[in-house]
Amino acid sequence: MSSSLKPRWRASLSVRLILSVAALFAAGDAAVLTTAYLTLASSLRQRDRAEIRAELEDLRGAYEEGGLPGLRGDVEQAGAQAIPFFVRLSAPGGARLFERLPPSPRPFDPSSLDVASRSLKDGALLQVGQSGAEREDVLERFRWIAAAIFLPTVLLSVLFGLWLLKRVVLGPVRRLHEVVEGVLAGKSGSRVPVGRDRGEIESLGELFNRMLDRIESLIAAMKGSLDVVAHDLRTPITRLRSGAEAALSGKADLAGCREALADCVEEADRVSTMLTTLMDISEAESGAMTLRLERVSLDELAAEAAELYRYAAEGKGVRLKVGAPSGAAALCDRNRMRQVVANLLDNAVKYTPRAGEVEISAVLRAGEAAIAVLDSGSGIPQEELPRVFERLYRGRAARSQRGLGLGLSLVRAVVSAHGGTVEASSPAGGGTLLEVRLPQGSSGIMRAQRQNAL
Amino acid sequence: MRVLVVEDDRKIASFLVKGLRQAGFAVDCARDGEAGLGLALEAPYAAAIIDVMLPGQDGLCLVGKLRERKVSFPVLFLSAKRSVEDRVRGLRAGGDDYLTKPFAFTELLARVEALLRRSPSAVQASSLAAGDLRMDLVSREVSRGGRRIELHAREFSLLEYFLRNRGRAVSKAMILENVWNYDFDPQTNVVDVLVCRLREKVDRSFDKKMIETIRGVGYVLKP
Repeated sequence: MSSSLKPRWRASLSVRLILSVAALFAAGDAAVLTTAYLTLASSLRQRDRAEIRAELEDLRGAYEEGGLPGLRGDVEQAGAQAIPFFVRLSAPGGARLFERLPPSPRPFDPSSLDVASRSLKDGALLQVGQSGAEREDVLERFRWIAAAIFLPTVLLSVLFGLWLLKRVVLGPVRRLHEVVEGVLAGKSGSRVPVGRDRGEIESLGELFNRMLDRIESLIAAMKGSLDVVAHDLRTPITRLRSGAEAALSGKADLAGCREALADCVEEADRVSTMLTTLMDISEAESGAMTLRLERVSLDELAAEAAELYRYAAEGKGVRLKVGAPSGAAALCDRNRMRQVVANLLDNAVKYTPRAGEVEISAVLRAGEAAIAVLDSGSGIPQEELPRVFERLYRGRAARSQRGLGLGLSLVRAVVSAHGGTVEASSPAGGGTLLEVRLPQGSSGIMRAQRQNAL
Repeated sequence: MRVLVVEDDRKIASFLVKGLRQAGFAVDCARDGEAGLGLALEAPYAAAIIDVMLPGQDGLCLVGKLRERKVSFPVLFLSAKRSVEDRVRGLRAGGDDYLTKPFAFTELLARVEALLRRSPSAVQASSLAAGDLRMDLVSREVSRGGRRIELHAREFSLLEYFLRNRGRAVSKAMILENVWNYDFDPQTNVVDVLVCRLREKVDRSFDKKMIETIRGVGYVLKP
């Protein structure tokens, strides 16, 4: 599996990067050397031209002062010093009056000659030239030197690029690769080592570690709730089985059998309710829950739920109060919110002792609509408060009591799907306060749905 | 009245057939979509109970074909899927009601009977009665044996629901849905508490107790 994940040679990031670096260096080198070469060539040519022009002026002066002999004298004199000039004087008709070839070790090549010419006063044409061979020699030497510089620098740049890649880019990438392979192979605890300097790749590694942490905690939570679910299912299923077995044993009379069957039905209903609630929770948490949004008065929701629990509370000797109307309303799924509020109230009534009090009220604050349920129960210890929304959590005090422990998890899941929040706190006066806050606009829900979609 | 059951699980099918026969229906049963379609096109049924998940052609497809051929008896879908979308899909395919597994047979029976009653003949009665119990739906007065009984609004709705279903068992879920309009189960025994209060007022000072508890099923008001 890992071999198929190895990058192909041609697609390999390192090969492409090194080739790019080398190409960049080569292009830079070439540009610098070419510019130097062109500048040198042009300045050499200018120097030569200036020399030729000066010689031409010189000889013109000599000719105009002393005629052909003057010119000849000047050239001969210069010739003694072996000046490298070609000189020619032509009559107006084209007849050659004087010509001198430069002394040169090489055979005379007219095509390599730079020539300047000038018409003189008497109509004769004076031409002075110089061979470009010397200049060509210098440039050729330069070309050799340039080549000698170019190849090693490109080679050096490739080596430097390799080193840079290994150190800065590929090292961290390879470590990331190793960690992923490790996780795939089952080492879920491995993490990318992250240094102090936070480059793009380092922060990618850090992000990757955070993702692994999140996945690990999700898996742990899932496994945890699966364990609790298995445990909580085992109890009703054991009752179901033993009840049915007792009825089948033959010792039971008809009434006993009916009793056992009724127990079975009740236990089956319990299992069914539990599964339904678990499905609702996971549907809400995964963002798959369809919400039919409408503007709902929270006062109405509170009153409705209070009405549902009125007699149950009364039967338990718990006073159920409804707060004064607040005018709070929120965009939500009415049926789902009814379920949320019923669960809050169910919980409060269940855990409030006789002669206690439960108050439900809708609250309107700036930009926020809330439903608060306050009970006068024994309260929840500070350290347990955040845990009451965990799946199947039952506080120490509540553990003995019968209940599915899923109610508040469902509340949180459905409220989050609406883009709202739910919080448990212990007010100064004692008891427990559960508050569901809903955003008044639709933006919260859209944000929640986007998040869930991710 | 003849009812068609299309369900592939042998145990659920036989339990449905037995229950419906006990309730006085003639029942035919098919185990897959093709057989169901064959039966439905042959005989005139008053209603059908069709499982959505069937081997081969599924329940939605089967009902779609029936509706194409202008077979119009009411259909109650059974399904293990309980999301709103599944429900909507069932109703769009031509179903008239949708019940999720596991279900209480009482509720299935109530729903089938409701489907059969859905004819426009139902005239609103102005009063209900069972034995010596009388309920006037207009003046909202209740009396038993000539003695006036004072009821709160919810108690009145519950008794009205019992009277409309007199002699027939109703489950807690059915009471929640019809008296409070809640379609989920609040875990606290709100229904038991209300029934208990109603009993106090309706049965306590009389020898004959009308509201009976059937454990595991629900309640029944016996005339």
